[in-house]
Amino acid sequence: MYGILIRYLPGWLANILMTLWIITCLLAIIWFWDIESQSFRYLEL
Amino acid sequence: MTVTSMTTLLWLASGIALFWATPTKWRAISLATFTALLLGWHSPKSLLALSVLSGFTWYLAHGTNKPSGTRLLSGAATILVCLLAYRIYSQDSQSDGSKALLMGFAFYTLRLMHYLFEAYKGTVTHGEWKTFISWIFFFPALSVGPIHRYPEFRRDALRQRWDPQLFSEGLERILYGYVKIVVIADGLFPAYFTPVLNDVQHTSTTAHAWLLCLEYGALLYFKFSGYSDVAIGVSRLLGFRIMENFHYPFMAQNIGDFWKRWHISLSSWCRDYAYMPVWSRLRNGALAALASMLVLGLWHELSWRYLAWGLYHGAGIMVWQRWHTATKARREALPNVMQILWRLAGWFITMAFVIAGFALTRETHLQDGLSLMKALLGG
Repeated sequence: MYGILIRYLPGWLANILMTLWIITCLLAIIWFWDIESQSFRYLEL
Repeated sequence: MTVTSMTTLLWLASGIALFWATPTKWRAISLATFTALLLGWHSPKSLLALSVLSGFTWYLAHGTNKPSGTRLLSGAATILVCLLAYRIYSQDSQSDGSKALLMGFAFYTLRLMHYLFEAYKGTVTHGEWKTFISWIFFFPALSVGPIHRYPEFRRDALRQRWDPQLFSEGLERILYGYVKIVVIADGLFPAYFTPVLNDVQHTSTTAHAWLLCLEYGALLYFKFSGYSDVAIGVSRLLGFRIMENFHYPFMAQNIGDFWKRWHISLSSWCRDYAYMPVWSRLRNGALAALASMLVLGLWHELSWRYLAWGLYHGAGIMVWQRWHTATKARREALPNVMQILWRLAGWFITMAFVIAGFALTRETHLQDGLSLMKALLGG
């Protein structure tokens, strides 16, 4: 992922985007964690 | 034990901590001991099977470079294939498969066969038992692969050192693995794709059949490549670069390309130990491709549906090989714009072929799979 970003964008922008991407992934994982059942949620609407 | 459970996470964290806390010369043994403990705790039968088969392979690999080596190798490989076939067959015929399952059996049997074949060819340095044990008892890749090779593992084991760059790459891969499994496959797919699937069911049978196969293939990809990412990531946390298992398979522009991107560790195993021997004996690429895809299909399950799936992909590769050779000159003479269109058409046909192929393995019985395939064609 970083390899693609750094190829087309300036280094500082690639670093910021990569950091944001990793934070988003982390938040998504945390959001899916269910404290009560101590496991990840399985969404079914 | 699933990769997303808290227990697994704790086991992984303690395994990594133990590995780096151990002095360098004892790391191989501590890694193997930790895996043995993990396996014994989860399934003592699995630990026994892995220990016996590793000992058997290690002992026989000694004799493969002697004059009677060919017979010994054939005998050992036949025994491993029979055991593998028996395990796959019995696990498929069990209704409560999870209890009868030997953890990672299908994966490490292929790794053991790889070791035997390479010892026979003389390409592995046989005699380093600590490295062998830590390679076969390597917990990150034990239950779902990748089917990593011995020479690469040995190379990393020899230059074992703390590398913060590799450690950071490992954490990132684990994160991506969890995103694929937890967020995409278990979260977004059931939430957003399944309702679409249910809506389409009432309007078009053909569209519904295509979406069913697409859902199956995409879920398979996200889950399996997610597990592979976690395994590759944990390996990097331990200082090992094990082989990749997926490389954007849904970007493939032909069926040959697809099999270089999907379950790479298995397809490359089949290329080296099924395709190449058949090709070197018969000098027939089409038959070699068919043989290798049959091995690949039946490795998943000894059943008619996986036999049909292997034949389907084998036939696809045979047709593509002919087509590729026949159109090579014409393709290269095309202007740039036409080449792009050619590649787009190749991608579209490949995806349609691969997605339609999922119809065969999505259903439990071949008859149902064929009915689904018929529905894909509007029947």
